[in-house]
Amino acid sequence: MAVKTILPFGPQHPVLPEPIQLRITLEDENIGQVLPALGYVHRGIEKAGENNDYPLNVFLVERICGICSATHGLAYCLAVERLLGIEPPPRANYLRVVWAELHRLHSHLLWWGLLADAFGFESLFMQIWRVREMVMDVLEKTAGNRVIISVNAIGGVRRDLSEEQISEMLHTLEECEKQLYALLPVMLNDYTVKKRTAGKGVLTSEQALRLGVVGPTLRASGVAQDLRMTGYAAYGELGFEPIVEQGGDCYARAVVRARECFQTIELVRRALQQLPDGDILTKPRGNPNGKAIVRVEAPRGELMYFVVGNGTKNLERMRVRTPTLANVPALLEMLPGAEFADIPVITLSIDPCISCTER
Amino acid sequence: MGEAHGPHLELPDIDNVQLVQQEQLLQHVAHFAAQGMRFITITCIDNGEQFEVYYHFDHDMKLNHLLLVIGKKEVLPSITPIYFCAFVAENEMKDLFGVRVDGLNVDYQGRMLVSDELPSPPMRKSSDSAVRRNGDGS
Repeated sequence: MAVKTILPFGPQHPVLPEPIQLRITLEDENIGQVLPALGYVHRGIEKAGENNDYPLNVFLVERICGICSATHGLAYCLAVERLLGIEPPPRANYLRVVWAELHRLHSHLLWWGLLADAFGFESLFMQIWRVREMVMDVLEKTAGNRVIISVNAIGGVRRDLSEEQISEMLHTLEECEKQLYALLPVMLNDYTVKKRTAGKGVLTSEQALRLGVVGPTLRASGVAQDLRMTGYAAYGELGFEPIVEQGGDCYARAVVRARECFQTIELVRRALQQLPDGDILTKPRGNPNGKAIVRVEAPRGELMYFVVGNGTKNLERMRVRTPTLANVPALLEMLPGAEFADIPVITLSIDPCISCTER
Repeated sequence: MGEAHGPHLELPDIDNVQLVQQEQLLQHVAHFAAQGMRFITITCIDNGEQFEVYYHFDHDMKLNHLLLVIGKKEVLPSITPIYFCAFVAENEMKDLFGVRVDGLNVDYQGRMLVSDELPSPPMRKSSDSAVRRNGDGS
């Protein structure tokens, strides 16, 4: 007869730098029921968004998550711009794509490093994070900070790129791409990587849609959904096509993110080549009134802002649905039936961000 | 089941919003599920007298919303028997607004995000929550 054990996975665990707990019922070495426990560091950011003046919220939402701070700022600005009836200048739209894609690139590389670390492949972890440092350096040189770069403003962007900065960015991305190509055979074909990810945590396309899964996790289950296809900011002019894999397992999720790193570099390149001249900011006037919903594609998937203005400088409501909130329920179907040793890799495969979850 | 919507309700300036009665909610949600829609989340807005509850769904990258307007003491039916994943959003609404939800598949008893030390739902705007928190409403 199988021995039942309740295993508290987290809130402090080597593969989870942030606090979430999965209460896992083990039957011998196999996983039975899984229940998530959230709320260890809930910050009440939606409530704080009602108390700030609406332009200040840009800085607040950027702190929901450091790794996708540019995407949070972008989504919030798009929503408020819709309420104010203003359009950012074309150059600002392209610059928004550049910084949002650089954030996606460093986020995916961060995840790849953490994945390699989770199954003990430390040299791959360090090689990937060395490439990531190049992206962080570019962010620091162009936006003044490594992580929370605060480039978005209501009506456009705060910073422009000079010709020298564009040239340096293109050069760094070329080097980054070269080094990633060199690592790619290991990332996709190495025995250790495949052994620990292939066939683990399988999610079919039907399951993924039913469970509300988003982002690379959804696309790895064969569903071609990426909010960038809707063409917000300048994505409509860059010939974007989503990257889709059919496997639905941890390996397919890793492949989607690896391919998206190269796609991201290409999108930045195109955006810089097509960068129009002109202003970078349309000055906002008045106070937001009405309701607006904006969805953008954050590195981990669909990010939704529902903003309600009441004609004053404060918002009536700021609702934020982050991608990890959508992907956590899938763990409750992916983990049962798997082996104990696969818990870290399967959990990491959704790229859980607890900062996002605990808004 | 009380008044589903009052005359003061402003129709939102977002597309594809369907105003539904409380008793029809599960029927509409089941219809969306049968069409293969992906559940996104639920947004609760406290307009002072009532809760406006938006259910957001995605169908081939297009948004669809159901809107329910309920009194603050009314009980919402859980949609988790149809969309299992909605337990996160429903528990969040329960924690932060004190909306009563009946039939939740995973029920954190109003303590998924907030602790036992918080005496009233923090996102609720009515004065009664302030009274409960401070005793004298100050």
